[in-house]
Amino acid sequence: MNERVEKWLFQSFWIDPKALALIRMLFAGYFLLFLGGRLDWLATYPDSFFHPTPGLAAWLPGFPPLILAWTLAIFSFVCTTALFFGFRTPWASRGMALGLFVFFVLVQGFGKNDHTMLIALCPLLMSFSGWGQCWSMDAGRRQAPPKAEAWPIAILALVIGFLWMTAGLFKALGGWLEFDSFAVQANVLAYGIASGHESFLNPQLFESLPDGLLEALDWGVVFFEILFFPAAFFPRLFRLWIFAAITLHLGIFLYMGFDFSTFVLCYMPLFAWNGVNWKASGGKSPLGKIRIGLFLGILLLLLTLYLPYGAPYQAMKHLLHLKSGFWLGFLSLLTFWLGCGVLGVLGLRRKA
Amino acid sequence: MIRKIPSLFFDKLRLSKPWRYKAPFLISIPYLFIHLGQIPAGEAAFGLLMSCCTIFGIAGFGYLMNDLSDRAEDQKAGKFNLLISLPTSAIVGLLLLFLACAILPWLFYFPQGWSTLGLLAFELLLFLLYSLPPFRFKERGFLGVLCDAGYAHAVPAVLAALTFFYLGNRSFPSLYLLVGALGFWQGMLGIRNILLHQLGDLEKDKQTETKTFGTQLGKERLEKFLLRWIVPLELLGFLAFTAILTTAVWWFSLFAAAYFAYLYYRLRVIDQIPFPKALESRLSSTLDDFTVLWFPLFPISLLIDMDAWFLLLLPLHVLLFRNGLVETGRQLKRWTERQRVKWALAATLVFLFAQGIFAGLRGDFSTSLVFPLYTSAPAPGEPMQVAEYALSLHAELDSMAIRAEDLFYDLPGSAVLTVVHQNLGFAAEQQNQALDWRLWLGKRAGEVWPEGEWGELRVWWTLRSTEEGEKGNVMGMYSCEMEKGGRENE
Repeated sequence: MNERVEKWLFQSFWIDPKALALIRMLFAGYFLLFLGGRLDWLATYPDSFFHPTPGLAAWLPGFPPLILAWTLAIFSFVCTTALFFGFRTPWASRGMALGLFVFFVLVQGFGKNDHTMLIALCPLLMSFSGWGQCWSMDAGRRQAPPKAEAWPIAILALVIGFLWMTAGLFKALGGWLEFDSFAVQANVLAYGIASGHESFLNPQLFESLPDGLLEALDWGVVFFEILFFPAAFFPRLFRLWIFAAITLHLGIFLYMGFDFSTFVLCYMPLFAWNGVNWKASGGKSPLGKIRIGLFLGILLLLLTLYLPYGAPYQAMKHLLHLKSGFWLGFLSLLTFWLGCGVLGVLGLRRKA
Repeated sequence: MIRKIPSLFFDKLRLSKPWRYKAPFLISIPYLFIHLGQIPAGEAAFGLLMSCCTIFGIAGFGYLMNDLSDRAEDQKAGKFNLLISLPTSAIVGLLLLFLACAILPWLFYFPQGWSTLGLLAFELLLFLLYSLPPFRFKERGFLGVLCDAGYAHAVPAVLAALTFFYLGNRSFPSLYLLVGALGFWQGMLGIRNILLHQLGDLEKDKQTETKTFGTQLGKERLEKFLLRWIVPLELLGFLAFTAILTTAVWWFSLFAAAYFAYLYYRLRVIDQIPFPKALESRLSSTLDDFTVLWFPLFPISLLIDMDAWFLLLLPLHVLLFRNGLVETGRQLKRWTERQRVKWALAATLVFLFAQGIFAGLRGDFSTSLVFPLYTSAPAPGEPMQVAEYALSLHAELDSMAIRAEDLFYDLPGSAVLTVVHQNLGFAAEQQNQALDWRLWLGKRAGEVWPEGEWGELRVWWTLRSTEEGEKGNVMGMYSCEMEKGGRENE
């Protein structure tokens, strides 16, 4: 048993340090370009809106004061930027995780709970993976060869699998497996039509599907979700599950308007990165040559640009009065879907 | 002088032994029964203080009686005995001190029932019967074993359970079954402990011609007796206690099972050592560690869930008593990095599944410690816990009202709709059971709505169920373009 545990924990999810570095930059870069923003809006809500479900947010007296909201925003920005550049990477990762965690706890105050807390766990776990050992400022100061750890990714896989499994279990308990109801159809119609969510493909397609197919969809979704957790113990199978999950997210986005692209960020370490020949990729990156003084200068400059509107995408939305998040969500999910698929195919070819 | 007092009690009178190996479990019985009796935090805190006082007093009295009766023998054998060097007045003073600590909580605070006072008296009597002549049960074979098990384990546990249950207000149908199982389990545990102790001291006792049950039976028969009778009965008692407690707190058996699964994982995967072969080591690493180090954390978690003030109990318990958290911390320090990672894997799994237990305690799986478990909507027609209500808000500009329509699901009882208008900076709240709300955009009389194009009207709404438990919190934002000339609010 010990050998199997050791192999699963320390070897199965190992990926090249360069791939880890790329994941690091994509993860931090996505936040910096698209998601990061001002948080002062949290302080504008009246406390009558603060109705958290029992959980961590229940300990708080209400929404935070403005100074705390700004402090959180600046702290998160600094950590995310440091993570992107690979400066003091483990601590930058943990700082980013802390900022995200505090933000999600505060958002729980609106009374809605979901699995977005996973996004805070990802940088925390990856801080132990060695994702700052290549293509980073830290790499410029190191002499020893980069070393990647597989166990943080294994634990991330476990957590992702667990969250999916619980979602599936509660669907099963909530009646999704009953033969007299079609839950997938009901949810697509409810969210895609009745609720006012923006759907991009016609959800009414689900009205005309045969009953057998609809019931198969219900059962399929439930068992797909429940089996996510055991799949985590079989890395190759899990990568296939991840690809299927991204496909599901894409479908949910197009039919029901729910954007789970931020979740998919957390799936990135689980793609089949070893399909690429990383030895052939370039040596040291220019990031390694950046000294701390230059980094601080870049940080200050970015901060002054960031403070008025947040991330460039958020600024663009504000200045151009964009309402829909369609293109960001769609392109993100599509890119992740294609990336996962291509890496998977490359991985299979390499193995062959 | 003041610095010598702890040494006097804990080293010379050997009270450190019961404090380390018996008190952690003993104090957890009040924790458990505070939860079962739903005793408020303030009252519970004082009760626990009195418990510590009485534990100290009873243990001190017991050790004092033993040392008092063994004075002559120990002096002859050259064995350390504090009372040899103490004057009589000091011995009397110590005796009164311990008796006061033992009895005063009952005189002034704990409920004075026949059962509790009777058990207290019986406990003190057992000490006398064990040590003092003409009885001196310690030299009367199995009577001594029963006496020791009684005063050290069974009687204190039952006394603590009954005392704290009577302090509370709730009834518990299986109380006497639970207390009976507890007493039986602890009694068997006590017998096992003393017999193992006698087994270990067998050769020495033979040489000094000390009469014990062990010397009467001999090594082989004693080992057989332990393995065939006492240990299985102890396990039976433990299982009975677990089963009955599970009827009150359903996840206790999960907690126990998780501990033993973790123990197996720790031995085989992290430490990579085989399961101990010696009986004493086996029982020590399984039942004893569970009982002393981990069981107390279980009722503490129940208490924290009951009232957040009990959070203060956790660091106090960790500081004062041996516990699994500190022992695990020490182990983590000794382990290599790989071993720590393997431990982290187990800790992650325990944490994830503990989420389910936490939510199960509340009967609401939308709650969470960190990650909520329940996020998806059930099939239509099923009652929803975290509800997604489809509301569309139509700004009826003529009447300056906002009309909300529930398009999809009925509301659970009444609901409160709060609307905040961003641009105009007002808030209105209305409680309504109807599907159709009309909320006037309240402005103070005499104020004028601005003329011209208003641009985007952004209205936040929150729908909060007023049913018990306040399930169904949702929040949303609706926006639409408004164009209207200004008008004066009447």
